[in-house]
Amino acid sequence: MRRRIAAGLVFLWVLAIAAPVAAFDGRDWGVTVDGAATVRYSDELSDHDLDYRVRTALWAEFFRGIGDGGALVLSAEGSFVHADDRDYLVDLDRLRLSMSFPGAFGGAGTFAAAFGRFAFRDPTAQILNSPADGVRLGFRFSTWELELWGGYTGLLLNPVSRIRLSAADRAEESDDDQIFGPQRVLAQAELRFPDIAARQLLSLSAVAQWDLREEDDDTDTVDSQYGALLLAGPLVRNLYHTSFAGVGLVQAEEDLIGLFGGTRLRYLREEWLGSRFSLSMLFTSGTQGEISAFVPITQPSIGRVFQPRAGNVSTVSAGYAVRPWIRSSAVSVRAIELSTGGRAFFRSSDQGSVEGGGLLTAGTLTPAGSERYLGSEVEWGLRARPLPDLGFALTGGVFLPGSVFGDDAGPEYLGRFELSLAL
Amino acid sequence: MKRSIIVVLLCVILGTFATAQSSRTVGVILLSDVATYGDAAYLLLAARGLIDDEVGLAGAAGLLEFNGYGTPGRLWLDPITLGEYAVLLRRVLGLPGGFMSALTEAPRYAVRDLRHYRIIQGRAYPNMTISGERMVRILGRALAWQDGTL
Repeated sequence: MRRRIAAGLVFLWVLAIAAPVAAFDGRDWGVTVDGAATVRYSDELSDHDLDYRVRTALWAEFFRGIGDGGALVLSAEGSFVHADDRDYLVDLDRLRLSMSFPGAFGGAGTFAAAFGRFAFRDPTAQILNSPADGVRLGFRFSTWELELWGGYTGLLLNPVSRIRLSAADRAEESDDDQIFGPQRVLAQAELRFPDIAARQLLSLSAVAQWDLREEDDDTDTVDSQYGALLLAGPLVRNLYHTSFAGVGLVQAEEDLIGLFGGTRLRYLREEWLGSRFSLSMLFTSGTQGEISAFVPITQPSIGRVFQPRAGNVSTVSAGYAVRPWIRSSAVSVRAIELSTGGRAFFRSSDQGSVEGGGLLTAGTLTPAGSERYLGSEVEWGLRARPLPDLGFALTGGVFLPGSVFGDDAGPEYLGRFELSLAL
Repeated sequence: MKRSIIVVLLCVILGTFATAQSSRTVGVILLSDVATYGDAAYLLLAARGLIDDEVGLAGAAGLLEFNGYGTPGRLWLDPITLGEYAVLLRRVLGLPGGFMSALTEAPRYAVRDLRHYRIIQGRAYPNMTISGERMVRILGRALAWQDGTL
């Protein structure tokens, strides 16, 4: 009986979202196929790992104009995933009704809202990047913008959920009996000044999550709150920066305070065959004095071959990308991009452990000494879109471990092929 | 003011073709909130220099079909969708397409191809109607893309 009521409520919810765009002015739909195969090889372990993933998605979008420049857009996407570790996974990735009302506040500013399932992201990309079911409200004026988000993650399928803060979250990650991911409420607020001075964007944001599970002897719950400041914009001609800093408060068995910060510089020279130079630094605190390891809600991507979890990790990266055939008369080769980059990893604190991913680097690494250098990686990439609906990428990388992995630790290699097709 | 800029842009697009008669026709096209098949035919043939000054919108639609670019069954007063316009633009200017466009001339793939090349910008659904002004802007970007200046 309860299931029938739940199914009825879900049906009414979908109907409520779909009804306003029943008489649409525009519609489109399509199928996308994305495949990726990754091979890893560890010289030291003489071991290799091959994994692959093919995702086929069906999407549709409906648009209806309202008032003077306003819009209602219903967008949905469902996918079928086949991977080496799972025969299939069918999921609803997006179901969103978004609307915008220009001139909603007496002729000035725009009110925007979205309901349904969509991606929640914080401006720094270090705290949160996950889909959730909820609502987003936007109040946009020429000099400032305010965005308010609220969502629930308990309806995300367990294999899809990336929210893994606590030991209970991690334990559920590999539990096939668990259908849905961790039940948490997310809240986010962002106040943005698009041009506060000298074409600089200033963003002040606050993110929080509350664990809805009952705490008992077997399950620990973790709540957390974050505050961040981001500044981005041009510094001089062709040179742009994105700089951010923030603090994370975690309530677990004990209260923890973590810090994070970083900056990314990009130097763009289109006339030099579309050259892009980048230099970036990232810091996530480790345990030292009153400060604890930084714990984000979802893990940001920190490395390519070596994939440490945020917390007690700092990196320095440099990269270069070029499109050698940008001036070619053949359209299909113009967008071929070659790139290379390097990254050095350090422990932020000379105490405490680092958690990594990969073959050699999987699990928790607790160096005995006070050595901070963890290792370096170099990567190469070729990215191309020969046709508007066909793209592929080849990536290779090697991680050279530091002495914390042992004096004779050998390198780890990674190769990845990605293909995307839009039908 | 905005319309004046577009008229100047269009004159540049059409080059020496822009005579008093053609300017009047272009003015009519620019003022239309819902562009027609004839509007599209006139603009595209003019951009290729395949139309005489005396030919109007109805004649342009026939001429488009005569040149092998037209869509059979469409009348010059029929409202044109963004998708249909994208298909005509690709045919008349010989713009490249993607894998799916090689298999079928479905409007949705033409729109996606032109979005990829940034020729179509903003909200783009194949079945939506377009204004004459937007049609001119898209044509301008298509010609700029061909020149390598977009």
